[in-house]
Amino acid sequence: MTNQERYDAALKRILGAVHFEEIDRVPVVLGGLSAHMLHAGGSLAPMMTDPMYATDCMIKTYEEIGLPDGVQHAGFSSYLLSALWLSKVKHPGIELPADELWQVDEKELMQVEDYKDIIDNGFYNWYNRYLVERLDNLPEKLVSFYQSFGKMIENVSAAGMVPFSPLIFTVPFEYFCGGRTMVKFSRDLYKHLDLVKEACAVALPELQQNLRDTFKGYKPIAIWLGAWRTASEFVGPKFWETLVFPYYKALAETALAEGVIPVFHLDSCWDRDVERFLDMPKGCVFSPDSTTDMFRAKKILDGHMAVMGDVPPALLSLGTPGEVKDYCYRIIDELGPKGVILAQGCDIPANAKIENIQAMIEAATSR
Amino acid sequence: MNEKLIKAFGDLDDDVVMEQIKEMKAAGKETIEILGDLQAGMDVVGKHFEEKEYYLSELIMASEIFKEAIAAAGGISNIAGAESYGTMVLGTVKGDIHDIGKNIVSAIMSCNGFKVIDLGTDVSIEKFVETVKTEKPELVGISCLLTTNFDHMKQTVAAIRAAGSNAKVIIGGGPCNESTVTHVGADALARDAQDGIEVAKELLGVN
Ligand code: B12
Repeated sequence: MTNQERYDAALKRILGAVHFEEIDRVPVVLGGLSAHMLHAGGSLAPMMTDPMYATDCMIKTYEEIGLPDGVQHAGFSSYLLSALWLSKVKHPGIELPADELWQVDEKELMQVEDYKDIIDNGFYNWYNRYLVERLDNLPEKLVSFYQSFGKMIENVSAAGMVPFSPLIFTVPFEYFCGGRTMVKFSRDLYKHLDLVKEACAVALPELQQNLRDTFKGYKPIAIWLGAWRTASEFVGPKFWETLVFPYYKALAETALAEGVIPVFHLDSCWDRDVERFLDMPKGCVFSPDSTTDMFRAKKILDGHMAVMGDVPPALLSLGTPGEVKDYCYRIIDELGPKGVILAQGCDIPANAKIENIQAMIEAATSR
Repeated sequence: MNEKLIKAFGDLDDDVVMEQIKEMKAAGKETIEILGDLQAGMDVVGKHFEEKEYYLSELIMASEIFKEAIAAAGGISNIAGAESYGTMVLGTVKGDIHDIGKNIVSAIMSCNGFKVIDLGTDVSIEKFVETVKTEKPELVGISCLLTTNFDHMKQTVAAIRAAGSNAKVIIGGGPCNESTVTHVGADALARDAQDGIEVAKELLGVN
């Protein structure tokens, strides 16, 4: 089989899974690149200067252990996290040792007055100033990453893997909670709810427009809609129903209207609100991190929304290939064959054993 | 009992909480008495949490209000009276900035008869040792959410012991379990703040 044929078959399989069609087997689509960098490159630090480093390491690793059907991201730079969470990040090889994982350094960089600024001047007007002024001129650091983005997609595809969801978007709640810190933002929900609400409302149409504009340059198969601090576990129903759910729904609708699949990347526990995803449009993917009960979620969402996950990161670090395979077979046999994509929960952690990653791939390809 | 204060705390209405404290202070009430009401308020919050009306963001909010309320009531050092079972030096381990759980522990243990000296996050080994030397606490509490920092916890415990302290060390935080306790040489594990109170009392041999 040529790589092109492999790619075509994998894409058909993945799309089939998303749309609950009859397919030959459950596809496997993996995310998280730090273990690959450590395995193939011996360090994390080169990604800070070489935008292709993470991509190269990932392709090398999968060519060695066997290819998954797709990958969730085509490349990585830890600078990207700052742009999402409005926090500074300590990077390997800069503030941290070369082989140590990046760390989000949550500090209160955003003030209550910033909500006013957003309401008065617009979200992106404020955001772009924030990146320059409070995140040490972040856009400059991301230039080479974005310039190489096309090449990343090309190389991953040429290797025979589908670059499934290479762009990440999120809701205003996530940005603000990151910039304010979780503690201060929780407090804002009580003390300054009107400001928070209005700033979120101002940001939404701009974020939707940003999706559309981005897709004009490059239209991915899917995108991540990242959900970390918006988890049901953290946010009480009254805030969740007003500041979380409608925002993800709006972004999902925007993506679907453009022909792009929204993947809800859900960290922490979402058990309370799984039923609410029945109110999302059809054609999305529910991707929990192993804290949410995915087996229960599949039953609830069956026929409406495919699930993707959720081999626990800790199992990939501490477990054996046999244990990983057993877990994967449970997903494949109990939840498949329709509407399931096998993946890790959250991201493959930096200290995942390579043979455990291989076990996930083999579990899918051998069933 | 100041029912208004208790209710306001339970409702997370910090303005009314602060107002009530001011009034109580003006009326000459002791810090310890105000603390009792704050504790009752925290119990209300805890109940809402158990009944799934409140979530983590409300617990975070409650521990914030508590911190400010205690300061307004006269400060933690003013309540280390007869009620206190002992002092706990508390902090998040070196290299770790997660503080949501630690802040909840700090608030709830202060409400329940412990004097808590909170060193914050990313607390260096030296800082723990120095504080243990000057404060001579009965307990040291270490919070750790990152498995990659278990060894820092181990070094911290070793350094505290090497400094000649007899303080009992309680650890906590998402990934910690009994084998972590053994690995780092601590005395006990606490699964949550309530458990922390029980474990602490047991270690100190009080009721
Ligand atoms: C919120 C969060 C963050 C926030 C922290 C905000 C803050 N101000 O604390 C932010 C976004 C900043 C963050 C950053 C990071 N995080 Co984080 N984070 C979490 C998350 C989602 C929740 C943690 C939490 O607050 N839980 C709620 C509290 C109430 O629970 P708790 O802390 O366990 O505390 C309770 C008990 O354990 C106990 N307790 C705790 N300590 C103590 C101490 C004593 C003495 C006692 C008596 C009791 C006690 O009582 C508490 C109250 O009940 C967890 C995932 C999860 N679901 O746990 C990941 C998680 C802990 N984070 C993780 C990671 C990897 C990180 C980062 C390294 C990510 C990155 N690459 O940047 C950075 C770390 C930076 C650093 N140097 O610390 C991983 C850790 C993996 C591992 N096993 O090591 C987790 C598990 C996510 C995951 N699944 O991968 N994170």
